[in-house]
Amino acid sequence: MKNLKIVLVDDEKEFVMTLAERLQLRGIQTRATTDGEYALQLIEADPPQVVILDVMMPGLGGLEVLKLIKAQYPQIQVILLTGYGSTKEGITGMHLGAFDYMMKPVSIEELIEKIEEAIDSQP
Amino acid sequence: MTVNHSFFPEQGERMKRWEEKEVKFFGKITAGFTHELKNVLAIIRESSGLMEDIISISPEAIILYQDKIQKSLDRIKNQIIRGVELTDRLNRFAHSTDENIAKIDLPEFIEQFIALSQRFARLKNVALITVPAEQPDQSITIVSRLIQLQMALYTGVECCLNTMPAGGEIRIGLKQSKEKVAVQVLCKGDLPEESEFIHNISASEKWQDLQEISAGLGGSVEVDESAHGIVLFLPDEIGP
Amino acid sequence: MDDKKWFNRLAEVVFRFNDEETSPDRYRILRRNIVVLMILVTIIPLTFMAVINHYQYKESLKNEIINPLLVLSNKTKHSFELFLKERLSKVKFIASVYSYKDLSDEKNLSHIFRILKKEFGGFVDLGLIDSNGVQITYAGPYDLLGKDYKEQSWFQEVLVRGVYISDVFMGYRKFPHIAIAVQFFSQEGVSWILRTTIDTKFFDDLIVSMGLDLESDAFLINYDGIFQTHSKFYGKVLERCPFLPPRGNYGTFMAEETDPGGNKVITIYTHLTKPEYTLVIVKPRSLFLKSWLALKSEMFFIFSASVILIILIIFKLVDVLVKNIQEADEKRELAFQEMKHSQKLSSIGRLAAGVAHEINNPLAIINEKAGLMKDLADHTEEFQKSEKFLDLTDSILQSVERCKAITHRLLGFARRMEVQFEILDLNELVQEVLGFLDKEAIYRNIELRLQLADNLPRISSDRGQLQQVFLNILTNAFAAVEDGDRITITSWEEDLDTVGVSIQDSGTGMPEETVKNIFEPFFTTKRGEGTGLGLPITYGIVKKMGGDIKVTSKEGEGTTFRVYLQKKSKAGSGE
Repeated sequence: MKNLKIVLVDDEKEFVMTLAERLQLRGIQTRATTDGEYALQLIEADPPQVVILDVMMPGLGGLEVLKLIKAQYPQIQVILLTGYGSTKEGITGMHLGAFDYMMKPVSIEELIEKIEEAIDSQP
Repeated sequence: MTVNHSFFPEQGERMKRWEEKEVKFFGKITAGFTHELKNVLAIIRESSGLMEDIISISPEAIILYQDKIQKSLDRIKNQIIRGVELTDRLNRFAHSTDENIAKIDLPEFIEQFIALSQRFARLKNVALITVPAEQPDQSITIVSRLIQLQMALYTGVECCLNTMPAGGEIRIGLKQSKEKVAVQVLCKGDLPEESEFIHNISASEKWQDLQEISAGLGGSVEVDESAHGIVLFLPDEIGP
Repeated sequence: MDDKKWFNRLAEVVFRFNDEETSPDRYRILRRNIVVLMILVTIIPLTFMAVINHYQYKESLKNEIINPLLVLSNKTKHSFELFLKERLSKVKFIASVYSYKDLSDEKNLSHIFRILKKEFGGFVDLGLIDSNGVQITYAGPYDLLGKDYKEQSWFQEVLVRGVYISDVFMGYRKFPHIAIAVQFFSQEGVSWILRTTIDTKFFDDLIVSMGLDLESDAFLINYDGIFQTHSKFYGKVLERCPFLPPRGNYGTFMAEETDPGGNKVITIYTHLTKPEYTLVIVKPRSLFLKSWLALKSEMFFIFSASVILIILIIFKLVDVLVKNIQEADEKRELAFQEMKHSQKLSSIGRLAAGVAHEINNPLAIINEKAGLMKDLADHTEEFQKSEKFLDLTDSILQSVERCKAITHRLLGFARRMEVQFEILDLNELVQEVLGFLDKEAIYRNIELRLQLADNLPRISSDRGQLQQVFLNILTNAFAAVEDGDRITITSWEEDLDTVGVSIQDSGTGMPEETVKNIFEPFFTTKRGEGTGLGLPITYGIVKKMGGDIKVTSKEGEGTTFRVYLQKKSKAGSGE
């Protein structure tokens, strides 16, 4: 997984920071933020290959961010993270162009597998 | 407006009683979940605490008790899986109040039900398992009241638990015939004699409840002496 | 239209009533109102008719009894007049057939008289009187030969009128008689008078033949009111009659009078011309009164029986009607109750589900933390680990605490579902419910502003139901606002017995029409979504507790729900 760059967006700070650390340990360049707006800035500054996005977020919601990413950077693959109340959003997200969605909590191995899949099927 | 239920006194009373029971049932099951979740959390806490202790001793201790740390982490992982499962079930259970009358896939329902009541059976040291379907491809669905169905099955299991010794087994299975579906709750283990078994079951006050509830669902309930169990007959579709 | 208005008001008074009235009263009042209305509507016309009939019958009954009498009277009058005419014609016949010369012969006259008496009866005497008024010949019991009648008024009358019929006088053997005199002219132009006396037995016969009942009386009186026949009750012949006929030729006349004995009587006067008699029939009113009373009591009996029957039927009918209404009401209440319960379970379910969702996040965190520890354990230099590890285990413990708090909330909630009444802090309850909606508020950027009164007095109420109430109102508020809007919750002590909680949103507001109907069952502005029962059920719960809910809204500005609760809630039927 060389030169693999991803951006993590989730409103739970502890979660997103820890996950980022774990991914970093595995050699994946990860930037993490709890804010959707800021995430877009990060993406603009240095576009990653994959963005992992929580759908349930205050402010600029997950789906909004997804739309904006897909509009500007269609090649970036987006993987959605959903909790119980948002399977519906997950499916909507798929229609909006997300690569796939996963239920929290995720097992890191599965996540990495999904990331690899996403990269393989990058448009 | 308050109305004296002078025309349907039994109906009014019955409704009130059942409403209380339903709420109690909900409360009981929900409380069960939270207890389990608490257990999960307790284990996580302890595991974490243990690691903390080890780390606090000295940096070398980490290496020395490496396996303990690994074990703790594994335990935490497993408990997380368990916790997620629990909240999943809790969620599903909570949503069973969404629709009053709904289409219910019985095999799936029974599976979920067993997950729900596993704890209570375990407390009595009885295992709760499903009987595999005779025709696994054919799904048996009925239209009924989800919460009351849960209550019915739960009460049936309670009846059995009352008369079973520890170490036994309760099997829940399905049988479909003509217009009725039969849910069998069969006890296995060191059971008393048939006559005593019947007596124990019908004497418990839960039996009365079970009869009322199955009537409310448009069905009926019987004791199956030879199989040592209770059979709940349900119509394909519940009437108004 | 004015009459429509008052009619509506009347209908309202009879058929509707205060919604707060409790059930037995409600139906009792309805029953009473309908019964009274129906009784008035049926009995008043019936009574009206009965009273009219009463008077009509009285009149027609009177006539029924009177008319035959009038007819009888007339008939009798004709018979009487016929009799006298006939007697008169006999005398005229004799006078025409026999000459003056024949009649002046005593033997002839006696012969004629004998035959007259034998063949026709009633003739008492027969006499010939010359133009000077002297009795020439006489056949009869009296000694009248040679008597001079020149000065007598009847003689004068005969000369003028040609005919004379006398009043009754006491005659031979003290029996009443009348005299008939006829004037004739001979061929020479000389006038002579034939006079005869007739006994009045015929009069009595005629009266008897009227066939009157024993209590009635009939008699003849002359122009001066002297009895010409015996009266059963009022006097003998030639006595004065206490009844006076009207003057003039009146044909037949009926009067209601009081007789000398003080009894009320009906008198029928029939005027006879030749002679000037009056036939009087006296019938005591009590006779016709008897049949009238019989009819009256019959009528009364029927009237009373009808009234009783009507009242019985009305009562029975209204009973059935109201019972049907009551039954329908109860059925509806039961159905409503079921829906209410359904909604309650549903809201409980939602809260529980909310909890399940929430726990997810901290569990995810624990997962990552523990995972990271594992990673580090595999990858990092030993000496770097301790501090890092400590941080991580700390985080884990924090998340565990968080989970605990959440599950604790759920457990408390589950436990309390059965408790009916307890003393609770309203502020705390509202915040607890808000806690369940926290996530959504954060997610949608809804500002929750709390203006909860310090020292808000505790109230005694049903926790579960209050949770249901506030959850419902808050959910509506959340649905009404856009992301970024504000919801303000205020609590205060309204008065000695009441506390108030208001939930104000800065949403779109509602038109007046919606506000008016907002607590109506099945009223919903959300097409296809929701049952429209949330607010009615909420309203019902609060009302049953003895509280109140008021809604105000302004389009474009927002809506405010104000919930007023008794500090001591009414002990309801508990759910």
